[in-house]
Amino acid sequence: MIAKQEDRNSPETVRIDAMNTSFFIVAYDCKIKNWKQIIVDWIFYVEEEWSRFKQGNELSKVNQLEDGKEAPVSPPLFDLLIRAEEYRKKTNGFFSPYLLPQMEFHGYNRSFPFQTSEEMDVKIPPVYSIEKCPFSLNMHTQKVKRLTEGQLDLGGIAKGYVVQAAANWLKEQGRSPAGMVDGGGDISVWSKNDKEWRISIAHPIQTELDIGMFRIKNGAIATSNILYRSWYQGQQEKHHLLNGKTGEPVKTNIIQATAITESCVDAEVMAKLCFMAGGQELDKLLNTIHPNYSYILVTKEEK
Amino acid sequence: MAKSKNAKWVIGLSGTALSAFVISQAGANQNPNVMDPPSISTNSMSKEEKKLVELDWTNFDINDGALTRGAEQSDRQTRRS
Repeated sequence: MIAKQEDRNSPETVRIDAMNTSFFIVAYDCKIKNWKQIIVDWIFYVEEEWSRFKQGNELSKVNQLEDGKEAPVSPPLFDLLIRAEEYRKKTNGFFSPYLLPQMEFHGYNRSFPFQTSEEMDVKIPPVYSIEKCPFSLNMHTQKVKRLTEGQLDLGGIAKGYVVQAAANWLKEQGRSPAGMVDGGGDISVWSKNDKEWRISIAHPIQTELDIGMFRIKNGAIATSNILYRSWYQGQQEKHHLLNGKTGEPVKTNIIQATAITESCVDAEVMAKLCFMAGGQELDKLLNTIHPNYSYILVTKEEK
Repeated sequence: MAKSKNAKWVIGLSGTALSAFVISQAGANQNPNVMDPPSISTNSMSKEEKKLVELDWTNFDINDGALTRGAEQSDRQTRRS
């Protein structure tokens, strides 16, 4: 990690490699002196405790709960589980945090990078109906109770949550007048002064190139891409973006989607939905997440 | 800077507790003086860029010109993740 402090009128920055990506945080005039250490701790906490590839962390403890058993979880995870279930309901199941068995069935059972995975002899595990939530969440005890089978994979929504929580904290607790939190391309920015952030959108394949740029003072941006994190399972090409209704990788002519809205968690879910619906159906879905949004799609034909 | 011994979720707690406030401000962060979409000549643009300018950019500005190199002009780049 590289920490840098410049003169009083310049922002302070911190760069962290975590969660299989790079984080870059910029804050102007944060009133909390040790904010970098706190941010680093927050990101490493999530990396450690919410990864599905690590054993013994709080996510795995929830996944290993037996029917009828309950376990306490940290307030942030509790909060995220509530939000994730709300997204599943709002999107009629297109988004689902319970796709771990399906993800593993398709061969995504280890951290990237990998290019091939073994074929499965069994059928794809069934997805859960929209009426069925595998867990009940007790607001008073902050405990999670297993009601029926279901395995959590928080994936991209966890990164969006990390980014947005850090941005909210720097803005409100740190009283930083302007700043930015970038978690591997998922970005939240704020500005209470004249600072405008110029955000470019990467080319879906040649990421060193930009396909456009916009200016924004307050908001969040997330980009999903099905070319990245794709692999071959036997002869079949697979990717990480699964349709929550079927458990199958989405089939679409869209290869990249960028969503811009108020919160990075919302943007992350919106970017995924762009691959699963189109036209009025997509706008209706996105409206249920947040009324203010824009999205930019890149299709295969425009390679 | 190393990871401290006590991994904290203070940000997650205080950061997201404030999100209810942020959400209640929905729209407050949008520019109240809605601008007309930018008028940009598309003659020299690629297909991708033409598609971008066809979208509703009411609250955003885009730059014209050809594909550009990453961080040369922008503060930050959103990309596949």
